[in-house]
Amino acid sequence: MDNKPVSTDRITNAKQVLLNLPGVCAVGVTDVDAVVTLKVYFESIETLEAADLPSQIDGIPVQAVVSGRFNAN
Amino acid sequence: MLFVKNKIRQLLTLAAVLTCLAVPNLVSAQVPYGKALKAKRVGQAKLFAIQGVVAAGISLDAAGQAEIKVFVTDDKVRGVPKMIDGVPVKRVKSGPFSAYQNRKQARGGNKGKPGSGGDDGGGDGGGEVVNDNPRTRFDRAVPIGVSIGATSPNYCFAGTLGCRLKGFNLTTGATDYFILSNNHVIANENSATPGFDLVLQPGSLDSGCTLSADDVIGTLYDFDTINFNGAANSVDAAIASTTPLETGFATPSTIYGAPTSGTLSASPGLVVKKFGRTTDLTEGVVDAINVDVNVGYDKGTAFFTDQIVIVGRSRRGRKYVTSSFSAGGDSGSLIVSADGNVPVGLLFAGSSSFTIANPIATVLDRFSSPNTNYLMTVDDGN
Repeated sequence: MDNKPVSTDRITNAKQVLLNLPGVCAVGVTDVDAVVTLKVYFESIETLEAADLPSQIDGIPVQAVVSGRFNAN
Repeated sequence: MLFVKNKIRQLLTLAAVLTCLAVPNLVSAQVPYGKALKAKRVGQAKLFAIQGVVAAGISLDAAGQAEIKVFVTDDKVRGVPKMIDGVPVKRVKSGPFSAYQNRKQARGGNKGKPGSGGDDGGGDGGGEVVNDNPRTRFDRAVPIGVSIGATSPNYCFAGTLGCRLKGFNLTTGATDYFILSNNHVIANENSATPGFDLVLQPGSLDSGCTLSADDVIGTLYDFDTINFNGAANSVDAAIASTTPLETGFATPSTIYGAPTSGTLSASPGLVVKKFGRTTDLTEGVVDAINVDVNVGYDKGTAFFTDQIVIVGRSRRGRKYVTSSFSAGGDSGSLIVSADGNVPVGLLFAGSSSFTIANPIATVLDRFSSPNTNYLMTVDDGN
């Protein structure tokens, strides 16, 4: 990891990688103690466990949570 | 049960590991967003101590640099700094905000009684009995945040009336009024016809699956087509023409009143609220922004970019606990800041524990020139 500013391109590219992982419903940007962090939403515990989720992508930290699938409501 | 416990333990362990791995290595003042967020948190107490400051958030200026946006009631507000910890502060006049009303004091145990919709604002009009059950029929003008539906679906359905929009007609200079909700609420996932399909209050699910001419409050005017072919979507939104005699600009008077006409960009940690058809008034926190998400519909899956994720919370004693922010039927609800009622998003989807919203500025842009002949703003009643 590095201390480069997090550009829009870096975030977009990282989100694309994460969205392609099986079981990922959504990927967004949040902050953890004022650090830009990618948040990955999984459809189930099983898919989260099965995913080869990196702790960071291109220096951007990754945080995971189980959300379930999203539906229009 | 043991299996479930083990899974939960594994999940917590994984989350802890990820967080520990992730956080320490990127703490840096060089991160524009993080620096701005930190500065806002540091300066927030002082900002809100200034009389007339009603909201503050993080946004990007034209050059892509993070800045702190401070919303003030009028030009007379003094003392807003130009910089906080090296981050520029942009001052925005958002107008006066309506007072937050204490729901518990005002409810009066009348939930479920149809009826006293009230004045143009959609409040109680000064009557003794205030109907704040959004699943019932309201006298006209109906308040925002209540059950609506469309004539087009061939099944019982109800969503939520988000808010009333004020459209400044760029040709005539006249002001026209519109109901804002979701495409999937009043345009039946692209199947409805503008100028033909009608908006009903309440939605048919809340009127015994009947369609009555007496329930009509608007006519579908425009919707943003939802792509189900994998192409990116920005909003799930639709507008219907209405009048101030049919649709008010505020929630029932026991809830929070009128939203402001100014809008606020969501930022992680922002506390928000919504009043909607199914779960009434709820509070939540912005969990993530710039979210790319796949959402399931009756017609298939649609991919949305740059959305907002919200997680609900409620107070238990002195602590907050995670709770539901929305459920089926809340779609179309306007999400506003907990402080100041500043519009933030348009609720349209969710899972069992998270809610998804379109950024409200994107929604307003969609229905403003050059896509329509209007300049749209959220109607605050002024």
